This record gives sequence, structure tokens and C-alpha cells, in this order.
Amino acid sequence: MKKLSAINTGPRVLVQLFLLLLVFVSILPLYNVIAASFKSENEFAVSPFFPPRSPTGENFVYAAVTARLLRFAINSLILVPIGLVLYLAVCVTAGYAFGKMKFRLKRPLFLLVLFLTIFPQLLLATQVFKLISLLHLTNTGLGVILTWVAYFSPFGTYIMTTYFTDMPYELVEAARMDGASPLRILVRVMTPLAMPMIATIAIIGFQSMWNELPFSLLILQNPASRTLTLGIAMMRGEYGIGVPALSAALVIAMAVPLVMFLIFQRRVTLGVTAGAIKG
Amino acid sequence: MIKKSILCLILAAAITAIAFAGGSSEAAPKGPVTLTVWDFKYGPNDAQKPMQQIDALFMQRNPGVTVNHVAQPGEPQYYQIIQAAASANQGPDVAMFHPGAREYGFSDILIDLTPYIQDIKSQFTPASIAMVSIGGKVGAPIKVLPMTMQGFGIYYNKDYFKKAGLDPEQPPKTAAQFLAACEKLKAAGIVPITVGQTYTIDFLLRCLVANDFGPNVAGLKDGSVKYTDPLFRESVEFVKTLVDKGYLEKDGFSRPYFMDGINKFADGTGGMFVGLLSDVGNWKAFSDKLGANNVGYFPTINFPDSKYTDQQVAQGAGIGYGVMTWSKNQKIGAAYARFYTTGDGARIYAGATGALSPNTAVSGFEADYPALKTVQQYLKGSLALDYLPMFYNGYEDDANRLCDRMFVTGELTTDQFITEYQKLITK
Amino acid sequence: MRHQGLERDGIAPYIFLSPLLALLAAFILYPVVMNLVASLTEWKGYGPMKWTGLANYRGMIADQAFWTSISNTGILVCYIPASTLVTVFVAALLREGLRGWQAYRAIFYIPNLLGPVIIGVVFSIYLRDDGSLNLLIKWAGGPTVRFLTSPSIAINSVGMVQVVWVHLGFGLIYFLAAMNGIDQGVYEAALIDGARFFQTLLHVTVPSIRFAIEFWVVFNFIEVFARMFSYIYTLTRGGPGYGTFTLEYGIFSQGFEKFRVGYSSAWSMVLFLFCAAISVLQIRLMRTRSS
Repeated sequence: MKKLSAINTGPRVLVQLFLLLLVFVSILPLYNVIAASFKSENEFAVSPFFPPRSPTGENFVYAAVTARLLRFAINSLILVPIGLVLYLAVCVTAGYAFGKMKFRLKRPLFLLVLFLTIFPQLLLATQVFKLISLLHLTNTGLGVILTWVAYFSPFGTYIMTTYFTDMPYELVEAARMDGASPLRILVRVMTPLAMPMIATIAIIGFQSMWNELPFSLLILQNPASRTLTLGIAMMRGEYGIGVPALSAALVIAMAVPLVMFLIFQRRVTLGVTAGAIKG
Repeated sequence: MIKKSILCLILAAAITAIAFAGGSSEAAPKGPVTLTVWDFKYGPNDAQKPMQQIDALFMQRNPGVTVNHVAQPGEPQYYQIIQAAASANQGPDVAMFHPGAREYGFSDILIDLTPYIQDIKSQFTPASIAMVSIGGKVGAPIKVLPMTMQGFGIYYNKDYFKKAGLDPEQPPKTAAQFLAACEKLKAAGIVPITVGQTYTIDFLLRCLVANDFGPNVAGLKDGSVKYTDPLFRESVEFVKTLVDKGYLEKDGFSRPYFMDGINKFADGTGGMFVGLLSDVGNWKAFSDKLGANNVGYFPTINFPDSKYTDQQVAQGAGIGYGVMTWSKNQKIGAAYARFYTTGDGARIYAGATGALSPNTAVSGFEADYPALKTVQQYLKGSLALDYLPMFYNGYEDDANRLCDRMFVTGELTTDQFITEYQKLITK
Repeated sequence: MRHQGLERDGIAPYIFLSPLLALLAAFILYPVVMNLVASLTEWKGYGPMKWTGLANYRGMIADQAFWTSISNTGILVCYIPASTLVTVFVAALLREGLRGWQAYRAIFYIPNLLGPVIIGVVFSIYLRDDGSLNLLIKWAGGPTVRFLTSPSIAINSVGMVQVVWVHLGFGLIYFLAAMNGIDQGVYEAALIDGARFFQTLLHVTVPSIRFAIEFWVVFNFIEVFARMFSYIYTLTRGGPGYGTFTLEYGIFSQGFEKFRVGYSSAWSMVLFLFCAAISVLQIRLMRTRSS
């Protein structure tokens, strides 16, 4: 079915050009980074802008091995998925409780959770760090994961809550009449039905945890245990990192989310779409 | 099924916790004692190689000790991490510090090292001992052992001087000569002064202040000397002139000083550079790249009405090691700090990096570096204390932001700058 | 939230909520309360806390850096309308079913995907006075633009890149989804009546997605007040001078660059108030929406 359009063919071309220009402007910085990563220090000093004439892989070796980015990437690839699992468990469970269960304190508790969604990490950083050190979890993956889950769960819970709320109650009723316990209902009935939304918050949660900075900065003091994001942020302050080496590091850091995006692209779009409709 | 997934979760969490617990590093240390050392100079492009050598030697001489040397990022992130460690009351055994305000600010997590150096104390210059003593007061606890002494000055490329028609053996001495030299360099198409962010201005100011106040710089602390002094004003205006005339390359202000600015000068961009005396960006770094006979040095610029001339601004101690109060290996930690600051350890470090050691028993650098000879001459002459490490922990950040606003962005007038600058130290 | 049955669910809901509530209590509530306490003391972040009453607040009001941080945050807020306009406009364009609109949507999402740290570092190189963008400008015959070394321009660099450009990608997906809910019939009727692009945009599209726009604005407020830090930290460290020193960065600076945690907590309370206000606004919006 051909859609009617508000733009005639002539202007359509202009629009395409305009969009292409936007894309070009958007991609330019990223192109620069990729180009620089293949140049040697000397070539970069002479020609920072053009594609490399004699590309070299030395920067990547430096970034991955000497600057330990590979190690950081592995750290992130271990920590974030585990955190994600915990995060999903907490959000789905709490979301179901708020969305489909009845209890006296539901409204005030939900408002509390909503209220806590906003606060910036900086506000909490010092105290959270003290807490982590009290629990003797500094420098541990567990410390960082707990912090991430605690910080990002309110938002995930809120989204799951709206989703569960909109689900027809008949499903719960039916399961209850079969004598199922709340836990059983949640796991056997609700979770499978909520999969699209769970995928959404999984993507949001993944992005949030992967890119998190302030808490990881404080908790992961031992360089060997740092995340990829932290590694990149710290590189800017380090001695002896020239632009080409830093660019190679950036390319490595960009590779992971980009690859994941390519694989999960449809999901991401669908997910954010669904989230948008929920408001 | 639920039970299984919960079990899996717990297992996963446990594995993670174990894998990351207790700040493990890749070289899983074994042995009865592991000494963890935090360092901001252990980066691969920094002093890592000589330090590895020194560590190996230390471990040889102290069997049963394994050194776990950790590279942390530089200032200011380094001190954020130290503060976090202080907050948790756990962390490394030994950590590198900048003596002065940074050290004094963390005084309560450092142990007093005085009893560990009774026999070698006299080897260190009095200036360095004073600086590593808390509050800068001789007789106060010494909490950091000084590894280097530091200072700032202006290096110049002799080839470029020749090209510009300047005498390479006669660097500019007065303000007027300096401006003329800059003009000639500019005319010859050479960047007069290579810049690396606000550090260049900060270092330059410190060189000029050395001439403004001479040995009375310490008076800034008790108020007997103030920045409102007309000589300081002259220095500020002078630096502003350098910026306005484009002698300090404007494009360099968004370029990091360490190492981009340093590398730019070492690669032959620019006639002059405000560098350091020790560690990085020093006579050795530039001589090795530009040619030992091609690097010249002078400590400061003389103004017609300054009471003092050719003062070399110096810090008694540039960097050093301290031992933390929570360390269970304090004796070994102290021995480690000693090893780096006296005898073979100090020698290896100085020889490899061009650091100037405050330990008089560590002989001067043997090889032939004309630039070093010049530096040493000035060091034997009149020294003026560097004011920056005298003030509070974190002062550098405030000072640099002010310099930014005055010289880089032009938001402040000279009067405003001086007022604010003075306000900072009277807080 | 009406349900068929009237029975309550016993303690099961509380068990389900316990992990979340425990985490929130420990990691968010407790820190917020401690912040308030700390703001009344002088404290290094470890060691003893010295009670100083309202001294930190008095110092804060007298501190020029504080007011600069507020005004910088204010400037970023001014970019929100721009962000909204650009995003809605481009989304409307893409909605016209142009060839490859999905590809555009995907490409524009990449900056958001990469995260503030990567974007911050990339632009800290790209926008240098001797960086690539200035090289381009020089070729075109223009002067050096001090993207990162002029405080007045720097804060705008932050606004343009983070508030407008990075959020464009997320916004496109968001608004395109919202626009999907517009009644196609009304839209086509307008077209038949002779309306062209801008008219349909103003009279049909925008009114239909009013709620989405409202949420988008609130979302941006949250971003500006509470999610800028990682980006500014990697881009300019709050500089030049105090050029990109926002309230959020100020908290970091006082606490971790100057080690005055008590003082930093006073600043935190101000940010807390702003965030609380935005939160209340958001909750109100949701209430109206669901009713």
C-alpha cells in the first residue's frame, strides 16, 4: 500500500541530501578516529586528517596488550552480563509485584522507587564507596555488580511495572485458580509473556552498565580489574599516550557495542519503540 | 528449574567474586611477602623499564619478597584513587607521592619514616629533607623519601636559534631580549614557544616568580609576601604579552602537556619549551631526541627592576615513596622506599630517566650532556623554592583554572587575576 | 490498577520486592541521607567529621564557582528546545517513508550507543585547536574555532554534541515509534486537503504526540542535570577555567579534586533539590498520562 506523502519528489531529493549531510557530519569524527588508529606517531604528526598512506597495526597491539585494553574488555564482558542477570531478576520480580500484586504499601513504595530513579551517581558516590569498603568489596567484581544493580534497577523496575500493569489480569486469575504459588506464576506464566519487554530493559541495562563510569572509577582501583569504559576514561590522563595509540584504544572500545548493535539491532529498535509507546 | 537457575546465579556470582577479590593482578604474586606498590610513573612510556630493573634487584637482595608494582594514572586521578583507598583504609603498602601539599594532605595515612633513615639522612640535601617533612618544617615527621628533585626552566633548540639569526650559545637573559628572540623565531617561521595546555603557563609563571621573590617565596605562606607585589604583576603582564603576540602558540592550549606538548618540542616543533629538570620533559628527553649538542637551557627571564636574577626555581623533592599506615609490611615497605632513594636503586633510576637525585651520594650523571651541565650550574647557584606545592592539597587544580581564565580564555583582567590568585592562598 | 479479586497477596509481594528495596535502601537512600549529614561537616572523606553547621552552605553561596556551575547547567538546559525541535523534525522527515530511512535511524543511533565516555574522548581529540575539525575549517578559509579552549564556546560544544547530537539517535527511535500511533486517517485527510509537510507537521503530527514530547523534555532535563558527568570528565575536565563546570561536575571537583567532601555534599543537596523537582514533575506527567 503506497503511503501518501507530504513531500513532493523534488524536495524529496533535497531531503535525502540533507540527511546524507547529517550522516556525513555525524560519521566524520568516528572516521577520524579509525583513520588515526592506523597511523604511526610520525605519520599522524604530519597528516592527521587523510586516510593513512602506510597503515600500521602497531597501535592496536599497543592498545590491546601494553595498555591492557583486551583485559579490560574481558573484564567488562564478564561483569556486565552477570550484573545484567541480577538486574533482570530484580526488575522483573519487583515489576511483577508492583504491576500485578495487591498489597497495602504498593502505592507509596512505587512512588519511592520512581523518585529514586533520577539521582546522579555523583551524589551517591562517596557514600556508596564507603558502603562497599565496609563490606570489604572494594576492587571486587561483586562490589561493582551490586552497585550497578542497585543504581539501575529503579528504572528497569518502573518499565516492567507499566508492562505488567497493562497485562490482562485474567492470566493471573487463571493461574491462581489452578492453585499456583506467586513464584510459580511469575516464572512460569508472566516471565515468558513479558519477554519483549524484558529484552528491552536488558538492552537498556546492558548499555547503562557497560558505559558506567563514576562507581567503577572508585571501586575498581586495581588497574587489572578495570572495565573497558574505565580504561578508556583513564587513558586520557596517562603519560605517553599519543593520539594514534589512543585512537586504536577507542576503536577497540567501540567495536564491542557496535558488534552487539549489529547483531541485536532489530531488538534494540523494537525495544525502544515499545518503551516509547509505554511512555 | 527455578532452583537450578538460582544455583547457577549464586555460582556465577561466587566465581566473579573470587576472580576479582582482593585486587588481584595478572602476575599472581607468590612468596611469603608481597609488597604492593602504587605508582604513577610505572606506565610503559614512562619509567617502567628502569623500575622493573630496580624491583628485580630489590627482590634479589630481599629474598622472600615479591614486588607487585601497579601502574596508576597520573594526577589528578592518582590522588582520587589514593583518597578512595584512604576512605576504605586499605590499599597498597607503598605509594608514590608528590612531596609538599599532596603529601601533607594525606599525612594521616602515611607512616613516619624518620627512624628508617637515621643513618643515611645526611646524604640528602637539606632542601629535600625539609620538603618531605610534614608542613615543610625540618624536624617534623618525614613521611615520604625523596626520589628526585624537581625544577622548571626553558629549553631551546639551538639549530632553530641559528636559523632565526640568534646566537645559540647566548640565550636571552632579559625580558626585552626574550621578546626579541621570540619575534625573530616567528619571523623565521618557527613556533617561538611550544605549548602544552595550561601547564606551560603554570610552569613559566613559577620560573618568573622565582625572580620576583627570590628566597622570600616562602613568605607567600605567612602573608609577608603577596602577589599584589608589582613585580608579580609585571610577570603576569609579561606572560600575557607572550600570549597576545602569539609567541605562546595559541593552538597548543588544547593539547595535553604530558606527553603531546613534550613530544612536539622533542620532535622539532618550536624554538623553546618550558620544561622540567627531572623525570620527563627534561634535558635528557630533549637531548636524546634533538641531539645532545643541540639543546640549550636557561632558568628564567630577568626583569630590569627585579632584585634577583637568574634564580632557578626548584622543589627540594619532586616525587618519592611513602608507606601506608594500614600496611602489614611496613619495614619492608620502608626498605623499598630506601632502595629507590639511595645507592644502586637511585643510581639506576637517575641514569635511565635523567632524574636529578636529591641524594648527594648518588653521583651526577656521567655521560656528556651539555644541557645537563648548564642545569647543574644553575642548581649550584641561587635556588628559589617553588611555591605551588606549599599550599593546600588540590591547589594546583584551582591555580590552573585561574590561569586558564586569565591567559587562555581572557576572561579576567590582570587585576582580577591577581586578586583571585591571592585569595586562593589565603583561604 | 484495578483488579478483579479483592484479596491481598499476603507477604509474597514484599518478598518479591525485598532485593530491590534492600539495594535501594543501602545504595541510594542511605547515601542521600548521609549526604545531608556530611554537608553540615568538614570532612576529607575519611577520618573524623568536624561539625560546622551551615558554614558549607554559606561558603557555597559566596563561591563564584558555584554560580558559574549553575549558569553552565542553565545553558545546557537551553539546548533542550533545540534538541526537541531537531529530533521531531528529522523523525517527521524519516517518517515520510524515504528510501533507507531505517538505515538513517540506525546510523544516527550510533553516537548514543557508544556511550558518553567514548564520545567524550573522541571529541576531546577531534575538537582540539589543532584537531581535525579545525583543520577542515582552516581549509575552508575560516579561523581557528576554540571549541575546547574558549569557555563560552566550550559549553556550547557540550550542548551541541551531547544534548543535541547524541540524543538525536535515541530520540529518532522514540519519536518514530510514537508517531506510528498517529491515526493515519487524519493524516491522509490533511494531505488530501492540500496540506504539505510543515503544515501536517504542525497541525497533525505534533499535537498527536504531545505526551511523547513532554516525556522527551523531562528526559532531557534529567540528562542535563544528572547524566553529563562522564562526558564532561572525558572532554574537558570542567575547563577551560570553569567553562564546562556544571553542578554535577562541581560535586566531583569539590569532593575528588579538592578533597572537601563536606563542602561537596552541600553542592549535592542543591542538585538533589533540582532532581527531586524534576522527579515530581515526571511523576505528575505519568499520572495524567495513565488517567
